[in-house]
Amino acid sequence: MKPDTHFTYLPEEQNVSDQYQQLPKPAIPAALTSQVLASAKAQASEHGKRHNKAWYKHPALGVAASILVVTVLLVDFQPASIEPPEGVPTGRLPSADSLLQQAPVLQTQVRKRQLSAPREAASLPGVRSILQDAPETVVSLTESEEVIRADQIEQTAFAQQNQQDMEDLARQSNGIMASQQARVPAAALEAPAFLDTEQLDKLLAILQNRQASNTAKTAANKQLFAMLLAFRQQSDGHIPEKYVLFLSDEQRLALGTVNR
Amino acid sequence: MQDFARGDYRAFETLYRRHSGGLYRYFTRQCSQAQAEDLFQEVWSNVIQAAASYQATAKFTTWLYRIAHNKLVDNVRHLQVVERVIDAEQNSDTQHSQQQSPEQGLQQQAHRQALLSCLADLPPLQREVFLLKEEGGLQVKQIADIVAISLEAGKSRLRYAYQSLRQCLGSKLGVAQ
Repeated sequence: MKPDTHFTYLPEEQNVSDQYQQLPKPAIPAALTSQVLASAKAQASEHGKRHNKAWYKHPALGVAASILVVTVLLVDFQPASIEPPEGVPTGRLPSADSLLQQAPVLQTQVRKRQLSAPREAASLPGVRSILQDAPETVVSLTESEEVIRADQIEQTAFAQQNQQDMEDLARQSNGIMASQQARVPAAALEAPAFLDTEQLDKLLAILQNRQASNTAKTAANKQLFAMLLAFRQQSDGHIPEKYVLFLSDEQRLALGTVNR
Repeated sequence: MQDFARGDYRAFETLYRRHSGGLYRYFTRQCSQAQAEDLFQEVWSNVIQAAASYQATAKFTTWLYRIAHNKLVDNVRHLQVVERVIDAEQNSDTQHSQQQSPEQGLQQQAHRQALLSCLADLPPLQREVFLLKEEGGLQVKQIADIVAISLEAGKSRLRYAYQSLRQCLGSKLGVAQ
């Protein structure tokens, strides 16, 4: 019997309990006991019959239920009904035994691969070969430097030539201006104050012609500038823009057309 | 009980042997012999009839004594026949004391008689919880469930029962218990 968790005897209570338990226990009359047991026996027989007659205890029903369960299990768990998801390989995975059997072969393949690696590395250009080729490379670099230097010299010469041309042009212009200034009275009397547009257009055609040589263009430019300068010295008349387009800044400055 | 409901008679025999003595005394300490036997038989009859629909929601002992309590309340307390208890106990004590020496027998008989007298003098509510404890072997919580009172009230009632018996014995026998 489990101890009473909610009630514990006090000493004096325990004493009373002990005294009570020592009291003689009156016997149950035998007739009463037999009457109760007889009633229980009859009832037990009734209970047993009712229990055994239960529909769910019929043997045939048990067999039918077993067949039904087995059938359902077989239908539901057919291997063919298990479809793998799309994209998942359906083949069997290699077993651990097969992998272990293949292990020596795989190790050999790995070793061969490691051995072939230095050969592949040797096929690449080594530092030594690069150093052996170095003089040729230096020579080729020297040649390149010479080419660059020649270009620079050529450009310098061209710039000097250009500078020379400009100086010549300036001297020429000054000379023209001086000579024309010296002849102003005569020229003023002789030269009309108008532009020889026919001649200027010819010079302009030369300047606009892409196929014309630089020499011809230079000459045309000089002649154009000289004619315009002569016109400017005689008149403040308007010079059409198309004749000024091919003049340099210095020439325009000399004509006084800049910012006009 | 469930085995008996399936037709196992021996299961009922076991139950009967285990609980019949306490249940019989539970009745005989509170009413006359004749009434106790009637109630005892009625309780077991109810148990047999209710076996088919028995639900194991509580301990069998609790269920058994709840039936007994209801029978007692319905049949005995209205008749106020509790005083008959002492006479029945005196008869059985006389038979028991014949096996002992005259002095011991007289002393024990006086002691038992005093105890039974004090038990009979107990208020009915205290007497019942005392008997449920001593004869049914029930715990206070089960007793409270059977007599439909709270746990604290059950404990309090049981304490009062023991205290009353102890004081009564002391006064009757002239010794401190």
